[in-house]
Amino acid sequence: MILSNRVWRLGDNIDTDQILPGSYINLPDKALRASHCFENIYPGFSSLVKPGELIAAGLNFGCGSSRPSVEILQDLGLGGVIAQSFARIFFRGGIARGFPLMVCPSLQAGDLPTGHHITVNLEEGTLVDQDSGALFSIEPYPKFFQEIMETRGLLNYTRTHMDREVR
Amino acid sequence: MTLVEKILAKNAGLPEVKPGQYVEALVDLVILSDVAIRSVKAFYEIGAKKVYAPNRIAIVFDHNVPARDTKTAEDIRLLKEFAETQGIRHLFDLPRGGIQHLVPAENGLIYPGMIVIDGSHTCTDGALGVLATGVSAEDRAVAMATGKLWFRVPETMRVVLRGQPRAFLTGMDIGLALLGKIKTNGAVYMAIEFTGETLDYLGMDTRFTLCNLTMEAGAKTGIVEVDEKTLDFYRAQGLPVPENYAQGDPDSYVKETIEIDVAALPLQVAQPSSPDNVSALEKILGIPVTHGFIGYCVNGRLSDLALAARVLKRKQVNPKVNLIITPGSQRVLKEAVRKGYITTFLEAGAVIAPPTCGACAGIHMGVLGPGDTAISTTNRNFPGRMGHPKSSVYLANPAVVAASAVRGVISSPEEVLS
Repeated sequence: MILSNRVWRLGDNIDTDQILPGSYINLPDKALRASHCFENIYPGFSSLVKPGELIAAGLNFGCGSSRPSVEILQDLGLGGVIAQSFARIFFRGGIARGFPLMVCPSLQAGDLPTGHHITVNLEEGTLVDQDSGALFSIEPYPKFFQEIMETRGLLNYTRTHMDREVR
Repeated sequence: MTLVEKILAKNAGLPEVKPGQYVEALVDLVILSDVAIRSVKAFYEIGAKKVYAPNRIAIVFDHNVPARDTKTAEDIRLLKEFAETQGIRHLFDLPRGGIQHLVPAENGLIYPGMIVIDGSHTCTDGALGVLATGVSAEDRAVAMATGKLWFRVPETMRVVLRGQPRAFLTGMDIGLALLGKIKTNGAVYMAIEFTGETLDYLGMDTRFTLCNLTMEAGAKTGIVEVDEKTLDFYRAQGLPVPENYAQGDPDSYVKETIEIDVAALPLQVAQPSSPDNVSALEKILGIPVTHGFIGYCVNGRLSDLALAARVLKRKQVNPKVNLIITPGSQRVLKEAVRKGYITTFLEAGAVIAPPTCGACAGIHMGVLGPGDTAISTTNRNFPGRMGHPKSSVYLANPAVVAASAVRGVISSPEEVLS
C-alpha cells in the first residue's frame, strides 16, 4: 500500500477535543460536523484540506476521549496520519476503520512541514519527503493489520473470518 | 510476569506473553454507554445476529441522560431494544445506575483477573486488579460478536507511593502529581501499576481515582494488586468475595519505576489547559472562579463526597459561584443522603445533579460559556472540554473545589475551616 500526497503538520498531543470540539459530536450532518475539525488550533483547516492529503504530527496523536474521531478525519477525505506516536484508543479506531495510522518514532518537530509532498510505503516501512529528500522509517504493521487494511477495516475482516468459521 | 501480563496470557490461552506482543484474548465484560449506539450498528454491520455471551455485556446510560434531546432519546430506545433482542439483562438506566465507571463494579460484574473493555476511563476498574481498558466502538462490536479481541501486551510502569499523606490529600493529588511528572504522553500504551505503603493509609476510593487518571498519561490501564482492601470492597457491596485471583510475580520485568514521596506532597492543582500543567495549590491561591464541579467518575464516590461535606458543613457557597455536585451513581447518592452529606450540600447552596458524565464532557448539566472559570474534580481540562473554548478549567480534589466554591477564589481547605 502506497500513499503519496501533500502533508499538513501538527504538533504533539493533538487530542480528540481538538479533532472535534465536544459540542459538535451530536451533529447529524457529517459534512457539517467535519467542518469543525481542528477549528480551535487551525482555523479554516476543513475548507483548505483536499481529499487524500495526509497529516503529520508529533507524540500521542488522538489522546483524550474514546469518542469516534477517526471518522471525522475520514469524513474530511484525509488519506492517513503519520505520527511519532498515537494514543492507543485512537490507534485502535484507525485499525478498526481501515484508516492508515503510521508510527514514525524518529520524526522531529521540523520534519515534514505543511505543504511538502510525501510518499509512504506501508509494506517497506519507508517514508520519503520529496521536497527535502529526507528519508524516514515507519513501524511495519503485523500481518493481520495488513489484512485488516486490505479488507478495509476490522468489521469486514471479522465478517470474513466468521464466514470462514461457519463454513 | 506482571499482573497485566498474567491476565492477558490467561485469556489468550498462552503460557507466557511479552510486552509488544499482539494476542487475541477472551473479553470478560463489554460495557456500552448510551453513546455506544455505534457499537450496536457496527455489530449488525459485521453480519452478526446474536451476541457471543449476553451475560458478558453491560449497558449503562450515563452521558445524555435524562435524554437531553430527541436524538439521544432515540439512541437510548434503540439500545434498550438491542438489550431486549439479545437477552442482555445487565442494563442500567439512570434510576438504578449512574456512571459506567462505577455501576458495573457496584453490581458485582467486575472481578479480579478479568479483561473489561469500554470507553476511555474504563481503566478506573483496574483498582480491582483487572485489565480494564478503553477500545473503539468497532472493537466493542467485534468483542460482542466473537467474545474475543486483539490486544497489544503493554510495557509496565510501576509507581511506588511512599509515606503517609497529609490532611485533605487524596488520590486526585497523587494522580495529578504523577501527571505533572510524566506528562500526558508519559505512559502511552503502557500499564501503570500502583504500589507502596501509601495505599495502606488511603481507602479503596483512592485507587479508583488513581487508576482513572492513568488514562490522561496515555496508559492502556491502571492497576492495583488485590489485597484485603479490595476484598473489603466486595464485602461492603454485599457481593461474593473474590477467590483464587491472579497476582503479579514479585520479580517481573517493568520498563520504568517511578517513586512519589507522598509524605512530602502538597495539595495539587492542574491549571488550564492540560491535566499535566500541575502546580502546588499554595502557588495559585486567589484565582477567581465562577463554577465548581464535584463528583463524576474520578471523584464521585462516598469518601469524596464525605470530604466535600466536611469542608461545606455550615458554610455558604459564594453567591458568584455555581457549585454542581454530581455523585457517581444512584447508589452513592442514596448513601450520601443517608449520611446527611446531601443536606449539607443543599444548605450550603450547591446544586445536586443526577449521576451523569454531562458536565465533565461538556454535553449538558452545566456547560461552561466564554469567560467562565471552573475548578473541578474531573479528569480533563483541554480547551473546550467542559464547554466553550474560551472557558478555563482547573482540576483539584473535592476538598479544594469545595473550599474554592465557598471563597469564590481558589483556596485551600484549611483557609475555609480555620
